[in-house]
Amino acid sequence: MITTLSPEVSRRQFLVAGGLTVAAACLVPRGLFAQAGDLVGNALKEAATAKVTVQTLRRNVSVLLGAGGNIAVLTGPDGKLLVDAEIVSARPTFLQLSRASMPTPSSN
Amino acid sequence: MINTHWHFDHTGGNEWIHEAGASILAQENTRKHLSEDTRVEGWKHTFPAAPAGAIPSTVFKDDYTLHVNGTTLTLKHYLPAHTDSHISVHFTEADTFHTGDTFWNRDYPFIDYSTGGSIDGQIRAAEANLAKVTEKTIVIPGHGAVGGKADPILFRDVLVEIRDKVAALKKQGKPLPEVVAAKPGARYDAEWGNLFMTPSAFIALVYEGV
Repeated sequence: MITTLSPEVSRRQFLVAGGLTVAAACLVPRGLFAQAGDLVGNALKEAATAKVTVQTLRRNVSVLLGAGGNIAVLTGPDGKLLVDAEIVSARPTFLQLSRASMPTPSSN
Repeated sequence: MINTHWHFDHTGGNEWIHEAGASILAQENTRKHLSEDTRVEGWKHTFPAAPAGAIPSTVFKDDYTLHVNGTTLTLKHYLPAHTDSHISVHFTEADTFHTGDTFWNRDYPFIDYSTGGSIDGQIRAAEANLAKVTEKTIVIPGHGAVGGKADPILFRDVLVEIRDKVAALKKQGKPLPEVVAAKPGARYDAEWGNLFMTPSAFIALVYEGV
């Protein structure tokens, strides 16, 4: 069933759809909370350099996976709508990836 | 922008995304927890009140519907599960369902008892998800790979199996270290105990709630 759904990871498709500059598939960081001690601190540290994957799903819905919770992205003429907002220290990676995912005043 | 719940790994970008022009929508308990210092015992961490720009400007209690980009989004509050602030987001036309942290794809979930979470609530939310998805639905978990209906079914089954085993051992009077040593999740630990929760940490969260 997963095969038939097959939300595909497509760099080319997403570049066309959203003008993203980076969309390479990468591994999800492991062990964010695995260590004892400062779990939150470790998560923040790891998120700062975590690789983020962009996956197109269906219609105008995509998802960003990798640093913190998964982010759904809905694109279109009204601007971009996000579901969830990553870990704060993932900002540089997130911004690099999601220029197309931010609300754009010029659209609409 | 919509927050599925208040935790830092889902709201950490609120302030700068708000600065970029987005308004933030969430369930009312997300605003409550972000607006004040909130302790999460499970992480041994106290989160200070978030800056004003990170606080959701629009909140709702049970349900919310909005129309954006030709898409109908239906938001629904869960009964207390992973936290007390959790919502699902259904992109109706694309039949894509974002569960937030009520579903982790092949990873043991963290459960935040400090803000209303519990293992039984987490299972109840997993059941609620199964009532929402069909064979055609794309399911976005809070953590882990995007999946289809079989994946939240497996998640529910694993939670129920481990919960029942831990409850039986606790009922026999076994202390937590003995329950952990019994490895109630032995069949799943290698795959499910890597990302956020070690097997022993997850068993401790289950033990707390049964």
